[in-house]
Amino acid sequence: MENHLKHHREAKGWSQGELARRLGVSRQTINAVETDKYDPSLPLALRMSRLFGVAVPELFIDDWEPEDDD
Amino acid sequence: MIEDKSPSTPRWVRKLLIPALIGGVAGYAGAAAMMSFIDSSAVGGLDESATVAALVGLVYALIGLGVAFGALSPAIGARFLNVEDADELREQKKVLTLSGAAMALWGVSLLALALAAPDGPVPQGLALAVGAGGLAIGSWLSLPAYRASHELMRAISLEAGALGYGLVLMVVGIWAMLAHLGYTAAPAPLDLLSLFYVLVLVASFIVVGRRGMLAPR
Repeated sequence: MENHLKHHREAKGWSQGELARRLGVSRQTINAVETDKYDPSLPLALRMSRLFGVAVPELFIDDWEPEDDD
Repeated sequence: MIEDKSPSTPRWVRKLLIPALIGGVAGYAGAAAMMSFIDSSAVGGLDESATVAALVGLVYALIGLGVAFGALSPAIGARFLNVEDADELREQKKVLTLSGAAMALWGVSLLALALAAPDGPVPQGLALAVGAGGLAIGSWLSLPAYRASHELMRAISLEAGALGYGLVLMVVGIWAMLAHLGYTAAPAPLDLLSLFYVLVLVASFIVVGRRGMLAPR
């Protein structure tokens, strides 16, 4: 899933290692998420959202729209 | 920390060429030594199933020992394992050491079975002890390794397990079908063990590759 994780991380001036440490995951996890190779679990996405102070949809891009009932 | 971050050494040389050369040389040297040992008077040759099993066991043992050694000696390990730097190995020391030890034990287990009497030099009782013990202890070590794994590695383990099961079902299943219908010989017990080992490794590489973890870091 496309995401803005790298943008938010770099805005904070953090390395992948620093972000990984703050989130309690490995650098490989951060690298895989940033390169769209891995979609994080909901708990990790929520932790990222809280850490950067943005809503999950601002971090992760999903073009899905609900169908109209009409 | 002794890291080769010299700007005079291109990244693709440090992260692709050197590890590939080390892996290639270690693999070739190990396989050549094993074949030479099998053909020596100490063993006197093995059938195809046992030879393949011995080589597969050796590959597991070499990979496992390489990973465990790299985790225990991060400065050196960062030179041949696909990590960003030695600190990444330090951060994952527990997982990698346990995983490497488990893999090496599984390799030794298969190796002992391949070299078992009557064709090989290892007495059957000893081969059973090493084979079953290596498999059991390796599996036991993989439990704390899994628990200590981070989120991505857990997802990879589960995905590789599922894909590995599918590959085993396809390959072993089709072989069994053909053997049942008389189109080919049934797999020998060692063939089955070798296939389990190889297909799990293939599944792991496929999953790790799909997650972008084979790309040079």
